Amino acid sequence: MKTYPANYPIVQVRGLKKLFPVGGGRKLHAIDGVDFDLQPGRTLALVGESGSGKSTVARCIVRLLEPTDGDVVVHGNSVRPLNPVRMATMYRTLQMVFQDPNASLNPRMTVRKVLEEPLKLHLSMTQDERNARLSELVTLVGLGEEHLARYPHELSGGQRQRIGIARAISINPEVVLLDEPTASLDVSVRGQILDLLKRIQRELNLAYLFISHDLQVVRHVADEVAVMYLGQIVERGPTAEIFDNPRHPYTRALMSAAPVARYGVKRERLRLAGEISTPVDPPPACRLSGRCPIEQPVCSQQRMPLEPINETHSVACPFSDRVAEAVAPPVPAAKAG
Amino acid sequence: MTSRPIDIESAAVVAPPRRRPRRRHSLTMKLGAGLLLFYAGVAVLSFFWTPHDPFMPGAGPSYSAPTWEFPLGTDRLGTDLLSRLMVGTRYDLGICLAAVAIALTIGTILGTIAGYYGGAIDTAIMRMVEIFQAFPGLLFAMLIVQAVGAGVVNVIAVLSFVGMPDYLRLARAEVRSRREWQFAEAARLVGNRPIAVAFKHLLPNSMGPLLAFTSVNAAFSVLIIASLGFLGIGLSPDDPEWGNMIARGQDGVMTGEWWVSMFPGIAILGMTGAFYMLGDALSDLFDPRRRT
Repeated sequence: MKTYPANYPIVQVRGLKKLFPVGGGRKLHAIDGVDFDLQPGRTLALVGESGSGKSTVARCIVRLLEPTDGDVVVHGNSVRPLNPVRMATMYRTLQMVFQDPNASLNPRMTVRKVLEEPLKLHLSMTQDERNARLSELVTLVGLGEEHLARYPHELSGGQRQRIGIARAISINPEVVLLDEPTASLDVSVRGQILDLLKRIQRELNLAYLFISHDLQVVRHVADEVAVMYLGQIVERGPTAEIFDNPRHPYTRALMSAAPVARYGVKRERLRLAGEISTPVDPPPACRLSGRCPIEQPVCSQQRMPLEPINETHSVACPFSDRVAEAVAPPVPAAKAG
Repeated sequence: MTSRPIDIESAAVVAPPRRRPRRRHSLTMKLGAGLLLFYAGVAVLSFFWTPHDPFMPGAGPSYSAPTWEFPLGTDRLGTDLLSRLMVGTRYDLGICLAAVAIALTIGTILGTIAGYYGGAIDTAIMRMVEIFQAFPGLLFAMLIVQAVGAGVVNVIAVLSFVGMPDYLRLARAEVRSRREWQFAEAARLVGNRPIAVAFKHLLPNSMGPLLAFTSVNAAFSVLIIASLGFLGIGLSPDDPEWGNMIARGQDGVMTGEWWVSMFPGIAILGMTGAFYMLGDALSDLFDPRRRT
């Protein structure tokens, strides 16, 4: 486990953009200028509804997709100019856990082969050392050596995701991108996997990018939250602040849409008007304009950059002071019940 | 090819567990595989033993109808037809298997590359293939055999050349459809180079449909071999290839010596049928849409 000075950013994402051509010269702005850092031992959660570009961010960082613009810097080195072979070396530092463990494991490879592959490709180990590492890995993710001989279809969904996690950490990466790692799992298994991820993070001092649309889960795991809407980060800050005092109207609406498991609490929903607008050639305006309850004339005339409101909290809304007055608090106070 | 042994057991269970368990070995598969094993056995046996010398004229009387001594009769020169038919199995099965193996290997490799990389590489390979495919297979084979000359090796080369585009297209389509699969992306993240992802991860998962197709396609190859033989192109008229034998006997058909052409014809029918049945059973096994 390497140690770094406080707030050392292992990964710096700067001005990341991904545009997809959709014909007729038009472009779908999947990611439109996203910045954030990932730090060892800390979890940044990326939340937002479907189509907001969360997964695209992760895929651009590891270059499964080629970013259109912007940069991803790992330990001070940009990953963008790397050729596929050098990029493969970068994956020693940068790993990813996929959303669907059914699809992300090769159905023809046993667990042993799945976990051996990264060891063989990155490390020169003897067969004995590899075997030792394999049993260490399966134990670390809460499985036993008997699982090594199994095929993915012989495992449950939770066990498969444990293998996906074991594969990601097998070569001691420093950064793990978690693309909705619990979304395709049963609720009963979800907690176990989250606990496992937290434990591994503590033991290995990993930096996590946790992508999720499940706010309960995010509150449970994240140190910091970035809220995405139509390819842009609209608000970013410490988890508690984002949940208890959201300042962007969209964050408010998102929080108020999340179900609360508490009896007798009357919730006030903030409903945004209309449908999510199109990410195809968006006008230079606030992405929420047209739906926003506190909209001002200026909102449809210029882009709203992310501005800090204190040291740790940034909002892409110049009228964030008024949000609290205009909109009822999203999450009910704990005194109820 | 870097592919590992094909594991039919694990290939069959890629599907979600909800599906009804399928019968792994249908009757068609047993029949097709059994018949092919029989042909292979005959071909091997013909190296060591045939009832008579298949190349010696006058082993019996000219145009002898089937008797105990000559179970399938003799031809105009009095050569034993059973012996010739047995030796002919070597030609038809051997040429077919060799040609199919070469076509499958080359087609799969090129198709995988085209399918995984896409772009300019894909375009270059596919345009080339389309030029080949613009000709009907048999006609193309005839043209090339005439150009390069006769001989077993040449016939194998030409057949594999003519058959290769189909394998290439199928391999390309299979790999293309799976390129975006998550385990292919996961394989990249594990540190595989793109070419390793294509051949180590995608191709083994595409082998099922390819093998099924190969078997069906082998049936066509047998027909093309026999057609070339019948037309007297490629092999020497003395080679006891089945198509050749039918051609030799066609004079007799009108005058009542039906057996000379009939038995090689049945042999061809049996072999194409066997390949067909095996291929059909294999594609049932691998085609997800037919898994009901």
